[in-house]
Amino acid sequence: VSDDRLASFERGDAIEVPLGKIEQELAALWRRAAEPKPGEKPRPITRACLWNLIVRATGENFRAAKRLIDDISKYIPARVIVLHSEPGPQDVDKPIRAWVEANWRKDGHVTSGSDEVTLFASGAAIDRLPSAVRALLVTDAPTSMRWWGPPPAATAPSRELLREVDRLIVDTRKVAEESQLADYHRLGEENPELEVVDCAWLGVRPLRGLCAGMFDADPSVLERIERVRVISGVTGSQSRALLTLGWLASRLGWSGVRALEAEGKTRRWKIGEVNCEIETRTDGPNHGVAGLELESRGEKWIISRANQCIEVHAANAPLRMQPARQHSDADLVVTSLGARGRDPIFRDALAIAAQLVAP
Amino acid sequence: VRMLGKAGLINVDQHGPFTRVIIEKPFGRDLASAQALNKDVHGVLREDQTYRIDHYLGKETVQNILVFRFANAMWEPLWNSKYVDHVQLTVAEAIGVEGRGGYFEQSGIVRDMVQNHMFQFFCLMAMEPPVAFEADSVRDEKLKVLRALRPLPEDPKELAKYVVRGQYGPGAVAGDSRIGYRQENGVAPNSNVETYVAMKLFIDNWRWAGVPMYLRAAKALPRKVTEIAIHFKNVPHAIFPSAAQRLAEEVNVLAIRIQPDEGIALKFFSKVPGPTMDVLPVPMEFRYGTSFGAEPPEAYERLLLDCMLGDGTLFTRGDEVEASWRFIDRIEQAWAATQATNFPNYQAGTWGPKEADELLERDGRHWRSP
Repeated sequence: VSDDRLASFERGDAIEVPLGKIEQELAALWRRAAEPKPGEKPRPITRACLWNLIVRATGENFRAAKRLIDDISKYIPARVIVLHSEPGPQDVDKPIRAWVEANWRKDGHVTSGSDEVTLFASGAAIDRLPSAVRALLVTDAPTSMRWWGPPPAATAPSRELLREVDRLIVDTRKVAEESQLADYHRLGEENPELEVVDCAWLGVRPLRGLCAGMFDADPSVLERIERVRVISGVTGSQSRALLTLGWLASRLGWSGVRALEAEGKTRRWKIGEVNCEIETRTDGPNHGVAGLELESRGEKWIISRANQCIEVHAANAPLRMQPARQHSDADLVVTSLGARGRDPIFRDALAIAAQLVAP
Repeated sequence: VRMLGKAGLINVDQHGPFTRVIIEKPFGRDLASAQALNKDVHGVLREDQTYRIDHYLGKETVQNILVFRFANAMWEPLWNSKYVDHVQLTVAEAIGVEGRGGYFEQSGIVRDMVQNHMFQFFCLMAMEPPVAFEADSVRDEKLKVLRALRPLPEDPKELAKYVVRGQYGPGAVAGDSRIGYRQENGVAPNSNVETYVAMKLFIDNWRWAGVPMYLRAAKALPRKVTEIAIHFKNVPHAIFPSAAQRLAEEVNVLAIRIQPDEGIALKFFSKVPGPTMDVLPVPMEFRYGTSFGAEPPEAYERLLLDCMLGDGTLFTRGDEVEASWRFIDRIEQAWAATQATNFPNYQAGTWGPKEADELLERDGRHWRSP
């Protein structure tokens, strides 16, 4: 390992390496990095890995993916494998290119870091990316994959990768079509051992907690809910609102989804005997769920969100306010790699949300 | 060897200058040929002059199996059917036959890998403590393991419940395109030769009663790796509700990595920092290169030196070779009698045919990705 390459590695820069020499190059770089510098005391360097994290990034979201990895790496030591692909002519078979780099966590006297490998393929070489990934996964560490866009088609090469993956992290806040909720539900059903985690679902977790808390004093009210209204502050995918409805319906045992005619910006369904609505209001706070109202026998339980705080109006209870927190994409991915990424309730909520968006 | 004897190059007088002969594998291609070979060799050489070399035994990590097991007090109490759920042994090659198609057509992976290399480190993993680290003590214990192997069924259908064969088709390994076995030079276009084998064995002795030993050896897998993985039993009672599912699905694994990255890794569970009782498997690793600051020497260096010093501990004895062929013969004979109709049955660059996955799934287990 030359001094130049070592310096690049220690700065966290990407270094191009031959595809077949990734492990050897990384091993050599880590070994050199751990050697004491002239005149310095030996310093321990830990090469850490708790997860294999595969990040698939096509042309337009490659930079966003790299930024996300930088943020995640501060909290989770993972071997990150970035799959960067661009469409190209299938009859041109260019070799896959590979870069390695270190994501460092320097804390006082302790230095640790983890590997990042970027693979670039175009055209026919894209089909070979899964085989390259398979060769790079760290044994005994679980594997997750951050996936952008619709689920891979049944015949797509990336579908092969799902066989290696324990946890698939998606973000339905950013999908182009809400129908992808149904696609992800189907994917989960077809692969029962695959944990599908949705950043949108993790984002509404605080709201779910507040909602449940409103009924701690008298949970029996929940059996008499007649109407639910979710106010969505965003245009495009309403996945957070849909998952919130899915959560309520699955937890409270409402079954049988019937779509009703929409009124303006309000979409309506009947789930069991309960009238459910999602109203889009873009003049308020820009949140997936800006408000939640539950109604029973003329009484209302309301959660409304402003930019800085959340107000909780439970029937027969004083108004409560609490600060609202923003979650970055990196926060949500870090959360999804923890215990909350393994949530059986999500499957049930997604199943109902999938029914809500069914044509 | 016969000609060496005729030429007077073998000195059988124990008090004169020594003559030792190293014999490279393959030592026979079945039990009958191995027995004939042993007879020929013993017509000229004493057993203590005969050094049947298996370079796997020259690997530091293979020798370290003995040190790991018998120089540390903490493993021996766990090394038995009470605590071990099952063992997985893997010899995976990322390469195909690489121009050795003609040779491989005559051998297949079982003769090329399992009968010799794999059975050697399998025996070291499973054997009883020898009374001393010297040739016959160690080889006696290895032989006992081979003799305790439960015989496989003769009927090919029954055999298929214990042994799976495979052959790779075209695919990609580590990002590079790879032709299928039948497209290799020197390979018949309708070849029936296996490039993959997975088997479930039992050692019928006091220590290992009822513990399945899963062995697999193959070419054109995702990466080159040789390892022994001891999978321990689950904890008897789950006290962490939030981690119960994970602890039911995963277990502690001790992996002895023979190549590459020679070393030992122990997978155990640790609490993830934070307010919840989340549990994640973490590896604790020892690597030769890191701990000793140098890569282990080439296997042959050590073995050639041992031969010159007259130490046969890391060489195989004639009766060991015959015992391993006796076991392997049954597989070869059953396969010779039945064509594999589904070849090629795995894509180069994958972890093998689905039948091999099913071999473990039927027992509620799965192969680890080493």
